[in-house]
Amino acid sequence: MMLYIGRRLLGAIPVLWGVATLVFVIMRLLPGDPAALMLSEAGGSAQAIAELRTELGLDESLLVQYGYHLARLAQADLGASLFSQRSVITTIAEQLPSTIELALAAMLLAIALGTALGILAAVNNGTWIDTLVMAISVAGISTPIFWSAILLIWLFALILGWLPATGQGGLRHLILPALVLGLASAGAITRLVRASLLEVMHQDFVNTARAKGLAERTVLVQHALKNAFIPVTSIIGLQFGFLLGGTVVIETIFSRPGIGRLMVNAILWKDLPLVQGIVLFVALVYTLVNLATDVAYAYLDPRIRYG
Amino acid sequence: MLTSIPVFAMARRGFAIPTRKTVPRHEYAPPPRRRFRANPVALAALSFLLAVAATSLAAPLLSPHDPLAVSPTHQFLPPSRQHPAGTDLFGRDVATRLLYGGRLSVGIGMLAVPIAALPGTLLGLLAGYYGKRVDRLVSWLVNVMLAFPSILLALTLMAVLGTGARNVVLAVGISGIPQYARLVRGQVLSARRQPYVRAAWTVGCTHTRILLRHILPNILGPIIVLATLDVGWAILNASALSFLGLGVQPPTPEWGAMLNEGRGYLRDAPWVTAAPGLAIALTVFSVNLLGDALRDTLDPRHRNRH
Repeated sequence: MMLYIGRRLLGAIPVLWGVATLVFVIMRLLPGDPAALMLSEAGGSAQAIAELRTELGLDESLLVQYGYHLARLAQADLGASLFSQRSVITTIAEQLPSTIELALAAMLLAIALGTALGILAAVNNGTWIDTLVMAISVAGISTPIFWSAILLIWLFALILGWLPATGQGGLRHLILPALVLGLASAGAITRLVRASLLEVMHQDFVNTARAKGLAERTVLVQHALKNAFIPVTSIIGLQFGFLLGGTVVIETIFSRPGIGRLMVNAILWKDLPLVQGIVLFVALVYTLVNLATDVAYAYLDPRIRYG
Repeated sequence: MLTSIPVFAMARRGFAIPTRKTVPRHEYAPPPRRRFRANPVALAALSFLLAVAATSLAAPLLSPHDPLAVSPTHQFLPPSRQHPAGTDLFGRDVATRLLYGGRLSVGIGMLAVPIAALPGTLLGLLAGYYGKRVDRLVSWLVNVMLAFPSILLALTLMAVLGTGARNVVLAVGISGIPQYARLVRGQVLSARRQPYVRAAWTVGCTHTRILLRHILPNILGPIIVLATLDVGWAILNASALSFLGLGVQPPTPEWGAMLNEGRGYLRDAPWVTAAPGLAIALTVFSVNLLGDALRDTLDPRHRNRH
């Protein structure tokens, strides 16, 4: 097992190097001068642009810039925000807890709801319950989160007045944003749990369990579910990426502090060092989460480890 | 057994000719096209999408209003006979903007798909077929792109490209490339070992010919399914960018941008956000139903599953 984890960690290094390179390519090689782009809003003079170019090291050759870029990243130095002049890492660290809180709450909700509905659909396969659950989950996947957020704000904050529409602080402020994100993610989990459970239910060991005369309930809980959940672990990593992306929209709508809102503001302000820092940070987190789910997968299913 | 007796001879002797009607349903596997037609949900979804496309294109014929004309005296009128979906902050007819907005919202979604599918498929074909170094390079590239949540990659591209419909198409399209590369690579890997590929090689087909004329047509089903579902994703991602103010800019009518314009007036004029929200949700819902139906008909692994 340790060997497997070590191999996967080593495998992540070229990917992270690629991520750093891709971000560099997007930021530097695309048409347009970053310094001019960043100062375009403020109507910066030619001199100001030239100064910023020197400050950002844009006068150097691309290869030298790339070298500096990698060297700074290796020291976990993401530079400073153009606007606040504060370190990008500090800025991200300040906003991080709020996003983690939101993503975790949404994830828990999505897993709980998705698993329950998926089992319900699979057990009632072919009946109207199955059809209904599947229709709901497709609707959940299809509804844009920025609209479901608006609908829930309208219903629970404006009409019923039960929950605050925006802001942060305490559980009451977390319910609506987490609900919106969780519902959107639950659709995909429901579909996977159902498909996975249906596949397992037709396998020999389930037939054997039935043939032994076990109650259907025992067959389901003790034998089928355990195996059906193995592929489900793999989607949790992917859904985490979806949630991280979703926080961009949700934090903006609910005026919550967090990485997602920071990203949108950084783009609107054309604060490219901040944009670059956030993207690199999120990609790092996402890669590590996927690595962790892969390790969990391998732990649950020995066929992967030795395959 | 039945086929050993001439069919016409059987008919003359009064035997029933085995047709689709006489063979029990479970023994008869209809061809994909008929199975698709027999699916009422898929047909309904397809009709809805065609209706969205038709009404968007025919918007000037269907609506007497101008989607951009500002009319302060008509601000926030509730839905009525004259304004079926009400009016917005600037007194513009929401229904009209919805029709014109469909051109951009659906159009962007449909244009972004080939931008993702063509390079993605090509990369997947090369990686799966040539293997070794090519595969390692492509797989690395795919893993790097997959290290970004797709909307984040699109956001980053928008940050550098700037706002506007053309850049939304590019950003959403490029961020979809790795999905296709991964799918196609896997399909090619299993197709490569099939006897028909070896047969083509034996009779002297070139690599290009084997890839494009033999392997590609055989793995087209899953690609079409992914491309269909991808239209839904692209519409969602593109409208999210516009909703955040980073994509299509007001006053141009686009569903995501319309939602953003209306969300500040939720209490007084909920119809301004209800119409575009419902339009996105129903369109993407139909695309997903259609994609699922196509998967059931085209993807052999999903056939006869239950």
